[in-house]
Amino acid sequence: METGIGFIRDLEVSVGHMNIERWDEPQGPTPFPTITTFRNWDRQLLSRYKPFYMPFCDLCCLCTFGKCDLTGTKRGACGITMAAQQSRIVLLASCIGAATHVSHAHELVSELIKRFGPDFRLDPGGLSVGVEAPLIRLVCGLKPETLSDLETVVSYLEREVTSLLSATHTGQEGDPLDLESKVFHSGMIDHVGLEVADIAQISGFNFPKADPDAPLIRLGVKGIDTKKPVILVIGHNVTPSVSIMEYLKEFHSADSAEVTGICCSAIDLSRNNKKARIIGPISWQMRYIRSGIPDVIVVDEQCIRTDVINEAGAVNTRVIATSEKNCIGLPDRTNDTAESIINDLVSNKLPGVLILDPLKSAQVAVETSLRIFEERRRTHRPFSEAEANEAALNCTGCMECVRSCPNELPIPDAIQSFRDGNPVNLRELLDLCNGCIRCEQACPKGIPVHRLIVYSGWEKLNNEQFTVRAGRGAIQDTEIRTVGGPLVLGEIPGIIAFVGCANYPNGGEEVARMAVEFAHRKYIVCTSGCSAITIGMYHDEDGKTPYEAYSGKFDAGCILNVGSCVSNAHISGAAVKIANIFAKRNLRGNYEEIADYVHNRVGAVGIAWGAMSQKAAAIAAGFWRLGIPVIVGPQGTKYRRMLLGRGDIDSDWTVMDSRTGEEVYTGPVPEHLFYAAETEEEAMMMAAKLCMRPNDTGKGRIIKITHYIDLYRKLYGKIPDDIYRFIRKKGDIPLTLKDSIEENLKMHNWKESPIPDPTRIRSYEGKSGESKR
Amino acid sequence: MTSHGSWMRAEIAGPKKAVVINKTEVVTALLKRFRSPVLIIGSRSTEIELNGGKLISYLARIAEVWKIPVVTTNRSASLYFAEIRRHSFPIPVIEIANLLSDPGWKGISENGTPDLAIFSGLPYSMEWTLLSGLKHFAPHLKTLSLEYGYEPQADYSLPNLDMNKFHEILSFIGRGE
Repeated sequence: METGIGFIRDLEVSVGHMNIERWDEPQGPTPFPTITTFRNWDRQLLSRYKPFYMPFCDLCCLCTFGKCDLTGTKRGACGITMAAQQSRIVLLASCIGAATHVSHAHELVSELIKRFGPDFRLDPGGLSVGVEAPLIRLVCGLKPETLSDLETVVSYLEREVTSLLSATHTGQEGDPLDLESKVFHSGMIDHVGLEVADIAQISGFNFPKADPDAPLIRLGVKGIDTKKPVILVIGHNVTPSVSIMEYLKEFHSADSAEVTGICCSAIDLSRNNKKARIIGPISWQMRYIRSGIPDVIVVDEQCIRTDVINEAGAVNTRVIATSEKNCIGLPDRTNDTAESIINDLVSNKLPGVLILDPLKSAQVAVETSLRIFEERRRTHRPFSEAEANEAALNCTGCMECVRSCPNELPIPDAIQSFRDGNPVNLRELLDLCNGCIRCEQACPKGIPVHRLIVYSGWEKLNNEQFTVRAGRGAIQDTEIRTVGGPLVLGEIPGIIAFVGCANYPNGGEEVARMAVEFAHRKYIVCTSGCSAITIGMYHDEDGKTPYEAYSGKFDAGCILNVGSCVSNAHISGAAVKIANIFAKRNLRGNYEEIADYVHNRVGAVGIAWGAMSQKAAAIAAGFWRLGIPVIVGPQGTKYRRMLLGRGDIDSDWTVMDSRTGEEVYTGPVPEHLFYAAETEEEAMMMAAKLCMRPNDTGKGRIIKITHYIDLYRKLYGKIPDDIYRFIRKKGDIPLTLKDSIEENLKMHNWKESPIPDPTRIRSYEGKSGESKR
Repeated sequence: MTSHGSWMRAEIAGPKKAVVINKTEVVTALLKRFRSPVLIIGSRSTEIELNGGKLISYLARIAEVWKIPVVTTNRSASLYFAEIRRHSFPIPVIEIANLLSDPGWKGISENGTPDLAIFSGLPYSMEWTLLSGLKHFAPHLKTLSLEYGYEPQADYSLPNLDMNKFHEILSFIGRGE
């Protein structure tokens, strides 16, 4: 262009993304909150649920001043205390988790924009979901309609994660509670990231849309057709896996290969295509890879064994890495022709490749598997009886394997029995083994301990087939309308969400038992991720898995799988939607009021029985900021701190009654925010207890107390001594337990207290006037 | 097998580690020295087998002889105490650890916070982390671990023991001498 000023060539003008307003709800007080916006709310929670720290290490070794001994009251070279250091490490863990989910969300959105364009409309629930993104609406004050709207959200999330991470720098935040507040913020950010990822992939990959009747998916190794090539996908980003299915359908047939998966990629692939098979949770990686069944392994991101290339190589399985975040040392062949890559893999010139193009990685995976599988079947030699016997003979019973096993499994005794001709003990260990393989690292004789365990149990594994319901995604608005009232009033005793990884203390059966127990008691049972898979791996007396025996609705007595890790957003989202759809509270940029509502009225509890990862830490933190308690298993104390209430300190348990403006005692409800249980029975008792809320009606409280007492009795054989703290009026007492409870009330000089219209925001606003609003 | 590296190999302790009790008399001396001990019995107490029975039977004997109040953290230990008609306070282990960290806590019988907390029969890693919490944040409290595996985060701990030796030590303590 030639003008009077000069000559302009190749001019591009970008005006950025315009969010055209099509939402008449008034903007709330806190859209796009910063890391201090909810500091008052967080401190209000933390004044009740104080951190109980359990340092994993006495030292800080994060800078060159260190190592610094922080034992007891000592401070480090930067002045930090042990308490602050623990909160700092928790924040680091939670930032890692949030960054992982947000990055995952970013990649999904970018890929889908590449496929469908920025104006592709989001549709996570069809006509049954009006509030399509409760967490984005709540936190960002946006109503996302297209993929490009999600880009705006992701930019905000990335900024916040960066700010949070910077707070962990040496000489930065040093107050434990300020660090904890930032942990909460990272959790809130994480949940928004989860929501972005899941509504994007539901819309783009056509997953079930809030469907309670999502199909049942095959689960387990039984029935894998090894006359076909077998592909294994591991990880969390479903794009490469979906591409494999699409490629198969387009160029061969959907049935021309078995596509199997582990962990969340498997869950999400099964949401896209019901022909996909889920092998098991994360803990099944090693046993399945070592079986030699998969011909090609496609890994994407998160929770993948970092030695996958070594293990795959040992059984001549080819590996394709597909994520920039997980290149595992493989040569980048993204820009090479598919044919040349396939040739190199088939000829074993390369054991694996990195391909950062999902369509090309799909082509390479399928074609390679088709060309190598017959020869692999002919040449694959499984771990033999002779090898097993020889390995067992080498065991000296030194106990090094036990001393490295997270569950202290009695491996030497089982090997001794195996040597004596009884494989049962070794076989039984397979159900309890989390697949970490530390036993093999520890064995001074080089015994392939895990291989031996799997060898003993393989026949059993190979004969069991289960089902898991494909992740349904969001909760319908109509479901929220149906259960909102009974939940808030307490007549449905609560929502119990089984989430997180597979680092179980006693195998996965405990999770399945707990889920069934709560469904039987008419709680709403939600599942996600590896917990969702694990729950499907058990049969009842009629031979049904929990997903076959219970409906997938969001209703009392149902067990519903929302989907993968990123689908956890629908669980926190459901709690938020109750405040919005049922209680008509404004959602838009109105986090604090909604969190106050959820905390005081929605009886929800998360159980992450095998929580292992930093992502699980971030997911838990997102629930904490909403005031939703989370219970972890005994390994969960390694997260370094709990958030515990003190039921015996009455002054900690008051709220403001919105009707009268008075501070009233409510009892310790919910008593803890982050809690590690030693046993399954304790976790169930505590979950029932933590479902109580100040807002429960008399009828609702009767139901909740009945479950609490019943589960407490099963745990300890008596009525809980603290039951008087949960009785507000005589009308809260279950009739069948009247005598024993009244005795308890008398013993503790119980006095009646009002049932308030509870809030904790007005309580601190009124006192300090410190609210940012 | 008698050593005092952590039972779980990777649980490397910091600068402050538990005093290893190599002589059983040290345990009995501790029980005599502290005025207000409490014995916390975990879920593994009914699983761990010693020569003369389950671990919990030894612990019940010790509690009786030394008149130590007992906290049972779990179902099986609570039922055991109910069956032998002895009193125990059922409190989840995470809650009792949190209470013990508070010097102002009234105590399980409202007679003040204990001065010695004895742990036995808990999952190793859970006990390790809880003891760490008490080591750093409960200076008013001493902790003693009665396990077959050395617990470095306690103030005092038995070393790594084989089950025969563990049986001998617990039997000796249970004689009340």
